Amino acid sequence: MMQLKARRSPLKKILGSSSFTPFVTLLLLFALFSILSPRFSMMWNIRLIVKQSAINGILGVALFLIVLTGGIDVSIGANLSLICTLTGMMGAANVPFLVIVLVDVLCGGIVGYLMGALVTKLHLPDLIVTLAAKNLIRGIALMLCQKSYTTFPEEMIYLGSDLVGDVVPAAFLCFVIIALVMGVIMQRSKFGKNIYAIGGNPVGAVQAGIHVERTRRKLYAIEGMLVGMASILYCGMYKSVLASKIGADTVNSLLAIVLLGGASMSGGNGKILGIVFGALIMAVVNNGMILAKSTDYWITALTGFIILAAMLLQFVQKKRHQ
Amino acid sequence: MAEYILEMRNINKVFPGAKVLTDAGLAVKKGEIMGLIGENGAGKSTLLKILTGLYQKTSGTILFKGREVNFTSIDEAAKNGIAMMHQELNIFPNLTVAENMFLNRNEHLNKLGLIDRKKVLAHAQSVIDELEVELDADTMGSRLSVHEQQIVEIAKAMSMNAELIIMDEPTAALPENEVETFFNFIRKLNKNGITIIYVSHKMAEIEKICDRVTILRNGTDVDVVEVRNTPINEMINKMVGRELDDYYVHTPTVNKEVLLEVENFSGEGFENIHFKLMKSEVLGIYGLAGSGTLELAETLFGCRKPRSGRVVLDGKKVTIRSVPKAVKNKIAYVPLNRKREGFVKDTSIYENISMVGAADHRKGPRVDWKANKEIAQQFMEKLQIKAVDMYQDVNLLSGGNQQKVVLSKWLSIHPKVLIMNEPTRGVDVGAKAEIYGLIDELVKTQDLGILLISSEAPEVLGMTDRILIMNKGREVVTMRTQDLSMDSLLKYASGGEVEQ
Repeated sequence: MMQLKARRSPLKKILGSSSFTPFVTLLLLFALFSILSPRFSMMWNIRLIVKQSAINGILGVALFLIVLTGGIDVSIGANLSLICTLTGMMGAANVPFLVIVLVDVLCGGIVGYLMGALVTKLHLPDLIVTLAAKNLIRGIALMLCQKSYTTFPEEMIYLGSDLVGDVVPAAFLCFVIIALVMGVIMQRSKFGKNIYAIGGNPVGAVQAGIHVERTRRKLYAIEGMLVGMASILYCGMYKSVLASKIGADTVNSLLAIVLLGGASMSGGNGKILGIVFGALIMAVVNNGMILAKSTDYWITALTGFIILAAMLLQFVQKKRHQ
Repeated sequence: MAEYILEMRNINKVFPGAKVLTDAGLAVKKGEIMGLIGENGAGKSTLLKILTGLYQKTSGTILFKGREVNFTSIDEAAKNGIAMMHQELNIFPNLTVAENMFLNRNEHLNKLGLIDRKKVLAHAQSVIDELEVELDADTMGSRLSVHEQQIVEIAKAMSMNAELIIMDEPTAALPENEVETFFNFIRKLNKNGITIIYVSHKMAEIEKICDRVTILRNGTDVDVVEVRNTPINEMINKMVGRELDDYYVHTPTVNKEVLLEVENFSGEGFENIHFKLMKSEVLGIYGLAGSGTLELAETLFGCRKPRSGRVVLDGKKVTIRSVPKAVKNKIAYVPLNRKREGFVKDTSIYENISMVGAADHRKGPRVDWKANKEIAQQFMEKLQIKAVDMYQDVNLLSGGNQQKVVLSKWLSIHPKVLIMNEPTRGVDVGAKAEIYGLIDELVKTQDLGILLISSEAPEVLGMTDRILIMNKGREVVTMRTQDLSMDSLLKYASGGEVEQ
């Protein structure tokens, strides 16, 4: 009646993993740009790429958490601009580094939690809530940000701009550590598995005794905290904060990262590792396009194209699966 | 009394506006397979939801293993040894079998609170092996067949040391040829001392697998019978209740004029359906859940696109691929889900009644609302819709009156074919009788034919001239209603052979 299903071989597991396609895409793009521009594969440029992947990488991980449960958050860029502004204000007031970190992470967490509460307690549609929140938060940031802030603690500038041991950009290392911690939580903890369960079968999750709404609220809070962490790297990397210049179309890049990373908008799919690859792909594309002397407009158009292409690819794979 | 593992006594459950259970009881002996039957709305699922903590009882006692219990969540019930297998299986396609089984549980966490994947996998595999099933615990949920999904659910229950497993229509999604395998599996579980409550509409399955059967009717347990000594008929009679026979009013038609002819009709969910509907005839379409009756109705009405087939209405071939096209051809549809599909909530009675036909009455380019209101008023009187006035919000009406509003809407365009899908679902007994009277009057006085789709056997038997019985998307047989008994209807609907 039933035949034994062969245990999946390790190779098949790798090939079937959602992170495999992003990995191959990354390699191919890397090869392509290396051929197009000899400067692309030089060590200093690779350092630049991984450094530039850090901020959007962390934000991508943050968005991925929400997308994994089938939700969406378009306010991440606005949240980033608000927390960066706060950081700039605190930096100007010579607040100690650790206090700034604490305030940033806490502030991000609170903003995220509030949005999560609106979505899960009042059952308002997440797209509308976060769209409205985006305007509200950005408005507050613009009001607070009276000038360009340029004073930041040394530690912050080190994290954002320096190399660790003259090799790895500290920002990238931060990104890797955050991704690692989140990866372990997602893959190895009860909480993480519950999140996958909610994304895979929301009704079933309720019947399995998972507090779906509470878990989603927590996720929004964690997402906000990650935005807080990204803000610290942002300030340390660019050493200048002007709210109007931050995060205007972050959401598009983040969506591209999440989709390239193997997540699907309907939820339940994707891994943190894939998101890391997704972030690297976007950094490679940005960097490669600039080296190939194309304009900003091209990069904007390409980002849109990548989102559509990634969705299309998923659609084709889904069709074939059926 | 120690032999009873579960005793539910005098359970009452009152929902706002409705008493669902009245002194209902369920006593299950340790190690038996107890069937639970009853018509839709008899209170089966409410009773079980109370047992597993999804609902709280209004009053009554529940004894499990001799101890009074009162669970407040499925979790709590599960921890105490009661597991529920839902009709719609709750497999997570993006998790492995082992992850599915140990989801949201605290076993096999290491010192850091992380899941020990090796231990989870080994434990899951050992439970599956114990069930003597060949299934790899590392398989992704999306790759499981329905039968395998059931095994995973049962394995999950076993891994929680469940002593009582409730199965709600477990074969609903199972292919016919896997049912026997599944039964063998249940028997094996049962031999290992697991007590089972088996809920099903399929009498053949009840007869095959259960030791005893508890029969629920109108929220009360009317009887408990030994399956061995009780003919199916007797169980059905007890389930349906004698007094129901009276309120079906149906005047058999003698009309031989074909109104609608459907040939080779195929679409998503049904294959190769043939039937003829005469003028002033009520043709019943009967099938169990998932038999394709819903899909057939929706396709005839243009909600879904047919794959192939010919539809001839009033001697003319018609192609219906959209709802407006169906309406243009005077096909009307009273849908299954009244609240979601039948009426527009937060709008008035007259607006709902004129929803389809409003534009037929115009003053120049404008819709003539005065004429529409007059029509609405006429229908309110004719169908005796109980409401303050026609401006009242439809939400505030009772189920029966809402259904009459839906009917009025369609009758106002003078349909030729009226398709009614479960027209009396969620309607109280008095309104049911009124709707039946209305159906009878319509076919007698109006120039139309009715397709009555229902999963309530007494209703189709009482209200129709002929019945088309469907099973798994295919026509089993079409027979004159007078030649069918409850027994044969249920038998054919569950795919039984037709004797000539």
